[in-house]
Amino acid sequence: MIRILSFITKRVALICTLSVGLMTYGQTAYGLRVGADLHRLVRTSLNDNYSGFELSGDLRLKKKLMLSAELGNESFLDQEKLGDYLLYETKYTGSYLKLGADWMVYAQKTNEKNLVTAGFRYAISTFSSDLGAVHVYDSSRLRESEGFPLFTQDGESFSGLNGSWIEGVLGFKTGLFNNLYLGASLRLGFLVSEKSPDNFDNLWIPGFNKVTDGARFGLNVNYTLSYFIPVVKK
Amino acid sequence: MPNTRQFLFTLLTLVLFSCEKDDICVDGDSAVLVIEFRDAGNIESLKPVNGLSLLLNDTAYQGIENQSVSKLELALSATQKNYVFHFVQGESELTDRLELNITPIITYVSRACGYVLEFEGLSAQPLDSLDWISSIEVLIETITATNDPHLVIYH
Repeated sequence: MIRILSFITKRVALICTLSVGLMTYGQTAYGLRVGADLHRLVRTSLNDNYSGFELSGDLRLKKKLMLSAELGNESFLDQEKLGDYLLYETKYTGSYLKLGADWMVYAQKTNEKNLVTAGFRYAISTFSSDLGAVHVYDSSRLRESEGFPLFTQDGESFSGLNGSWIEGVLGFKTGLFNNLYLGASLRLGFLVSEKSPDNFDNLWIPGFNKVTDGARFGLNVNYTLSYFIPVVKK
Repeated sequence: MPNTRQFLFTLLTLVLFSCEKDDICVDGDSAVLVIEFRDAGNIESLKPVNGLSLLLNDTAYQGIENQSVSKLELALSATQKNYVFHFVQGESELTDRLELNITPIITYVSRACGYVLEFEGLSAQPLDSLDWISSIEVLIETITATNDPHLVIYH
């Protein structure tokens, strides 16, 4: 946890330095917005099988263009069931980084408090997966009259897994007060590459969400509270 | 009635999209050990055993008791590696004991199926001199979900 925090602090420091650099370089930088995802925090408190957080930042480069990034860490216990019976469960844990740009599609003319943005991200995630109870699928019902035969209570662990994907982002932001913004975004990811373990698949990837068999698309959302630090006012 | 038609179309679309490929297992199943009984005089032809009972720890295994069969499909356990089966021929009431050693393994299929049970390293040997069985032969050591016989018993 301390490692993750120090990693994040370093990233935030990097983004800040970058923004200051851009500010002194020219008058195009308008400001930096930093935020945290509320959706992941709420999900962490409501869902026992999930924990995670995401920090986000964007830097306004031009009137209609922003550089955007998200950094997060997620852990999810995926339980695959058939009917009422557990087949197998896997815990996925890992971090992700998304980098890209957003364009302002719509901004309220008077004060730019309400924004609609569209953009893309390139995202990478490194994670590990750990199989818990593994039951084998058996339609014959000869081994067990109910449920599925247990193969092991604690299955294999796989580390050093990764995935990369491209994400299309549709975002909405509204200004609350004192440079505080509330935003929501819907993201459709297209998995470009993944490293999956032998004799298993990545069924869930941190930052990407559920991976469907035979398809490369994944859907995820965030709901952020962010603070806008005005760097240069024009 | 365009409204009804639209409604039905929407309903159909919803039904079609709500049933994902990930929800049903169609790609695999756990394997069974296939044992064939063949004629000792003509090793290519099946020969049924009259009134066969298969006992494991003095109880009939999978309800195989006094059956006349030439082929058995045994759903072996996901955890057990060693079996001593009593093959009882009904007519003569002769019992032959065979020891089976096998390693259960799991193979990942898909999200919906998860893992299926397969086996490797099948070996079989008689525990003492055989009475009604003349010989046994392991044809396939690795057991996957096929109908090919893995173990043949000649009698």
